[in-house]
Amino acid sequence: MIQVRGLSKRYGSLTAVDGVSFSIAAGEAFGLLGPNGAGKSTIIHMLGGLIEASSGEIQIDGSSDPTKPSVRAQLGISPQGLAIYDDLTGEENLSTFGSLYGLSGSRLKERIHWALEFAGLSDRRKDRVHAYSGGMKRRLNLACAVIHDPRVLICDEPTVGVDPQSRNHIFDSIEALRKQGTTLLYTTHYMEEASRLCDRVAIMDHGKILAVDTVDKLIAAHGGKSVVHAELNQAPKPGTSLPGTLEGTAFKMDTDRPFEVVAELGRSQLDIRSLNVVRPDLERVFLKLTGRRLRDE
Amino acid sequence: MNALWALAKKDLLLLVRDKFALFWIFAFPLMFALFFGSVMGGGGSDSKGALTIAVVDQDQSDISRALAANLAKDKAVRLVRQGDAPESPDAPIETPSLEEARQLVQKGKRTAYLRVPKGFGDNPYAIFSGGGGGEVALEIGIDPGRSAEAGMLQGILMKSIMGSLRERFTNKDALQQDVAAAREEIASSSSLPAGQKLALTGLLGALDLFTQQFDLARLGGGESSATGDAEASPIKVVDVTRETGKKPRSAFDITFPQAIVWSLMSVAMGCAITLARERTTGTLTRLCMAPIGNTHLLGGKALGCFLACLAVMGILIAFGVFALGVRVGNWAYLGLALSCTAVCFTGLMMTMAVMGKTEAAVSGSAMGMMMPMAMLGGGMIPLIAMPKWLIQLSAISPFRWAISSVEGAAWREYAFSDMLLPCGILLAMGAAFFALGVLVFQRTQS
Repeated sequence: MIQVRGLSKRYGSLTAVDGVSFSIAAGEAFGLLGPNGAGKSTIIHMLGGLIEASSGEIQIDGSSDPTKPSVRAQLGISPQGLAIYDDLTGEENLSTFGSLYGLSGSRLKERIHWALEFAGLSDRRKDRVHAYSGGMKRRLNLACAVIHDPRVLICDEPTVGVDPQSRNHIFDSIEALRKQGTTLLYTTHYMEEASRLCDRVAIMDHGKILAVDTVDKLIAAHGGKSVVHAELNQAPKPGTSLPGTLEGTAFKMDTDRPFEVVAELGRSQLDIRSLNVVRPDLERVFLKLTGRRLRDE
Repeated sequence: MNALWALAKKDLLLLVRDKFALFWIFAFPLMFALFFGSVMGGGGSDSKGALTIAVVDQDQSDISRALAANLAKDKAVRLVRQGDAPESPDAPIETPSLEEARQLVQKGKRTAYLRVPKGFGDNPYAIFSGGGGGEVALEIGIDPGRSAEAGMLQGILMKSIMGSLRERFTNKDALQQDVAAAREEIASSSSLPAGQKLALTGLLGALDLFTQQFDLARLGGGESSATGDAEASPIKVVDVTRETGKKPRSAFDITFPQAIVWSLMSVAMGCAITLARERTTGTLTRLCMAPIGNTHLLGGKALGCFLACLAVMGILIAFGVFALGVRVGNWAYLGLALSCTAVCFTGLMMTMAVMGKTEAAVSGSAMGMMMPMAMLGGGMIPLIAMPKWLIQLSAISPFRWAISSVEGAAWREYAFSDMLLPCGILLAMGAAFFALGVLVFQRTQS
């Protein structure tokens, strides 16, 4: 559905996107995971034909010109900022954007009704957006992107500043679209979102893709081992045999089989105050690949 | 077309819901027009609210002089006095000829004139008998557009006539003279039957006796309560249309075109700021990623601004015509002028919209661009009051051509060929500003 090869964008001496390549199959959910400034939004702007690439190639459904109206009509873009009109009602916002995608008459009304249900805003359809909560605005922002039933949904950090309830609503909505076969390109700097929603994830930093694969494979390749932490009430007797390292009363062990280690600790008759198992995740993958944490930026 | 209209409708809704913008679009220009219109004399020469009347006394009788004196006592009427102290109540009332009075009304210096024809004093009661023999008892000359003032003046006039007659009824000598004259007329009449002559002579004899035995002055205590029934009275209203003569008929004729351009300036600035707001809020990103292209995007914004300009001008013109008596000489030309003006300000909007990336930047730049144009173009000082060199300099301002075209259609009596110059310049300026705006927009987008 989408193919990107050697895509770059330079602003003077600054390289925002540096030779990025990836492809997204029809119906696939693909995540771009990286900190702010990694180049995720720039890639989306190039895919939407908003800015021109300095080099490289984009192909969307076989077309290499993302500015073509026929190509744009297949995309639904939910920008990072709230791209909705505060002084219009939810219904008027949907009507405006739906009309831009060629909807009119009964089809437009039908889609507005669907989109309001999708966003959970049917009972607030006549209210102006400035009276909405932050989460409601985010949901409307997403609904405006899908009013025309696009084949590809591009979400640029759709949950920024959203309360947990609205975040879950957004996740559920996106998952419902995926079940209908919508292709998804999702950018985020929240690893748990990428883990939940995406089939494959590209780890990005400083305009480059560092790794692309499924979440499990990325973790397996770059996440390292699970870590078992235990805090003892008193140091074990000298000569006691333990599988990991012990510093005072703190026990730690890196392992591929953490539950076996926990069972062994139980059998050792140690006086354990607390026990913690840390499994590798995308955060660890990012740390491993970049030497920095995702949200430190 | 669907997308164009959707964009225009969206902009119109946003403009209508912006209370701050609405103040500058409607309230401020109206206050401007009303304030300066009032300062400059409002609806005409009668600045104190009274009807300024010229009395043409062709009768020069006691009755006609009493009528004028009674008229002068009415607070709703002002009779201009002669000499160096025209406002002094002791100075004699001006006595223009009929032609002079007609010209005073034509030029708007008097609201109306009252002609008291020769012979009015000989038979003042003819006012109640339809004029008698087809002769008009009194004549009011007034612009037919001032129907309200004409009706009011007829009422005031009837009141004054009744006051004059009451004075005559309560004057023993005058009444006895009238009775004696009536007796002679009855006696000499060959058409009256003998029976009627006898009855009328008897009635007049009784009246004569009544006037000799009673103190008539005691009867004159109350206010006269005349009716101003124009249909029943033989007061003829004469059409004296005020001279248009390519001059404004009222100060509002001057201040209203100014108010219109102030409104349009606010509309254009409001629309320009919405484009900057779209940029800062991110809606522009969404619009630019829609399958419509820049032509539709900017076309929709232009259509919204154009329609807003037309709507605002329509509302202001309606208010001016119905509430303030602003008159339009040629509605078709006015439509042409307003359309061309709307095109020009739409073009200006496009240039202003790209003069900054934020609302504050666009607002500041637009103000810096528009204010000098407004001042130079007659938005503040009326073109009619500008020295020649300033009028020549004002040619660079679209405000000047907008005002010229509107004034040309309203009261300057422009022919179609006269309208072509300001309208053509407005269209050319509009196209140039629009092209400049589109060019800069496309460059900044890329």
